[in-house]
Amino acid sequence: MAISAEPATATGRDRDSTVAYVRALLADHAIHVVVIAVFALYPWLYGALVGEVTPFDDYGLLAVLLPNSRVMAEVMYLALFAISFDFISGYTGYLSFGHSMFFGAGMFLVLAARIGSLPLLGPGTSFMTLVLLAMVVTFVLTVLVGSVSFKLTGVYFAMITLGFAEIAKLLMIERFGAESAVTPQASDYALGVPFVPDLQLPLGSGSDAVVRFLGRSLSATVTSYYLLGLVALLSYFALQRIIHSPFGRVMVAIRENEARAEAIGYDTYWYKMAAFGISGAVAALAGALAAGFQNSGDPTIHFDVIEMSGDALLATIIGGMGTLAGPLYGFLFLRGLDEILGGTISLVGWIENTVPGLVETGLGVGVTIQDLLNNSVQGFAGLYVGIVFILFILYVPGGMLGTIRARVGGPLANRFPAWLRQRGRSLSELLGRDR
Amino acid sequence: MSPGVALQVGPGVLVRVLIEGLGTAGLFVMIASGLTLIFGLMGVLNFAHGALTTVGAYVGGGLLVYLASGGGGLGSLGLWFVALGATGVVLAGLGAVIEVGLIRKLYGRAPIEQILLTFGVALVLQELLLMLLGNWQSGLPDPTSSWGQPIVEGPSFMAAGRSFDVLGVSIRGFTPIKILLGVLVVVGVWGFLTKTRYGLYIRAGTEDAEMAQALGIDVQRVFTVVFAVGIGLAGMAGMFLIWERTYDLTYLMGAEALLPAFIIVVVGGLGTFKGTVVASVVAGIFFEAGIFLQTNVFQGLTQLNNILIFLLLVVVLIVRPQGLYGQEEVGGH
Repeated sequence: MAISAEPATATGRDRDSTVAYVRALLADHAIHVVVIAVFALYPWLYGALVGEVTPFDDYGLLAVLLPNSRVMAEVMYLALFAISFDFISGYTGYLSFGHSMFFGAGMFLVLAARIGSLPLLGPGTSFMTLVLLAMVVTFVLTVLVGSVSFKLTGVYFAMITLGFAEIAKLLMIERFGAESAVTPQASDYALGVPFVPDLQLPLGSGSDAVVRFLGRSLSATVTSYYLLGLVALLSYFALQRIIHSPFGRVMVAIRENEARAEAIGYDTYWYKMAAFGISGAVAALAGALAAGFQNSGDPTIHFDVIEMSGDALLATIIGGMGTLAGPLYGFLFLRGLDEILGGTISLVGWIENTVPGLVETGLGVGVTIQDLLNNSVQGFAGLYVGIVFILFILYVPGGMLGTIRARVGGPLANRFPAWLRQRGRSLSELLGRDR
Repeated sequence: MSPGVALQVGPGVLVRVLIEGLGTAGLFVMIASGLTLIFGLMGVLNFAHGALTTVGAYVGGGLLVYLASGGGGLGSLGLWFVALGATGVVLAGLGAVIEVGLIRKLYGRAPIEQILLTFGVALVLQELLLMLLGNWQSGLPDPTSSWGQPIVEGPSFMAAGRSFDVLGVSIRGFTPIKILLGVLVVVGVWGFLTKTRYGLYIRAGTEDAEMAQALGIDVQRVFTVVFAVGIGLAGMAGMFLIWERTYDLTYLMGAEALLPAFIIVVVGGLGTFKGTVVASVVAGIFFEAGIFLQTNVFQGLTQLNNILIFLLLVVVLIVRPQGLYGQEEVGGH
């Protein structure tokens, strides 16, 4: 991201140059501004189009198709997890199948502290302290796992990280049991600027705290959505910054040809370790946020390779591997479809409400359309996601964002501002104005 | 450890762990040999292997239910082998269809993409299985939990609960047939690879697929045959998993069994059949030792068998990354 108007020197900086700087910055980040605006306005849009819906209402198709704010909040931390997966797998080419372990580590550090089973960290420890601690601890854990795993490459690397994650899952099941989720008693999680309680807001769908913002009152879920979205956004920019730095160029060099990167003098082992550590810490951040939002966690799910790493993989492939932003759209699709086909306000429910006669129709073999819907559509999002995944692997190898990039000739963050500028110029020429 | 523990670990225990371990090794080698042959020849690490094993379990179980309801009785040894053979054939057919329809499109692309494709196939197969079982209104119990009484108990001639004595140690009824089948598979695959023309093609293809093709071997067809045979064996192994005490008969069963199989293939060395056989025996004994230890010594640790096998993987990958009999360049970047 080159910034076209250089900021003036500190002594000569006046009001005009600051305005010019901000304007240039916004112009360069046009696509980010658009995307952030869409996500920021989404709860309002959802409220206007759908409003409050319960499963007992006669809801419309829009209520089925549009994800509610709880789903959107979940997408934020899941996307952050998938972005951390893409950071290591998409940019260095090392498939981190065991990434579930780092998500789970972050999540269970928070939960274990809250149920009072960690030494030194009582249940009263503030959430932000736990989040930061989870990132640091998981960074160390990731580097330890990496120190062994990066002695291997290719398929072997994927397998050994998978092995580590399985051991971690089994140990966690030994510790916390497989029967029920870990759910702390108190659910007070305040997310914001660390160590400044005034700049923190309550996180979690269970909280009944109402936040007033610009004269509107926001529900706890919507507040959480904004909080989680903000953290995901900042983390995304931080990771993007790393990718665009000389360090990030070495990561891509490792992906493209590791032997060559080594031959020109880079100690690739330590570059891989650092990238893996950062990726693990961000995955732990996502896990800790998930713990805060749900106030519960289950080692059989959140440490599971298929459930967590598998979903991150699906989201990354569908969104676009090696695009960093792609996993967000991948998870939006994944969780959205999950909710449409498996949630309480589901497509099948809508069909039953809208055309009650149709579902009673028999198909001749003792099976009604209702049976067919219940046994092949409701709750089978996994099947359709799997089919879409296979089709993407076979026919859309770049994923959604990768394909768009190939079409417009570069990342949208570069192409969109350039396109806007070009349009602006041609518009000026048309009006006969000299710029 | 208490003195009671020391008393329990006598020669009898060792014999039992060894024999039961060989039985488990028999199952492992049936699942893993397909995995290793497919990887050796085509370079595809097949994540769908576990899901296909589960399909084998349900096809085999379903056949047993139908054969039993036909009046033949589940106890009949002959019918039981008919069901086993039929399962192998059905699964081999399914394997051939998947190879021709999907996997073939990805030869020549990055190995990671092939892993991802088979991962997707595994997901779809699991969900399809769940869907079929849900729609199959034939009075079968919930497919996500255990499955039907005759299936749960196993054939009467070697009922899962029955055991007999070897050298004064009680061995579960299924162990001898698992060992027998494992030996048959090892001898059969080894004979197939070394004594038949097709085996020669497979070995040539594993060495250098392009050169084999240049010499006039239809490598595509060899790929299909290897994939079909591998999946057929895994399907037959699936039928035995129904009665394994460490697995629940659910649509996810095969995925659980796939992890030890992967470890065996990596520990033995990707693509080497000899390594897979040796690693199967080691992993089988580790697995049973883990079960013995967790039931008798460390009662808190319910997952010790799996933890032991994963430790085997980690140690081997650190000490000898290419596996016991593997070559260094296989499977890397």
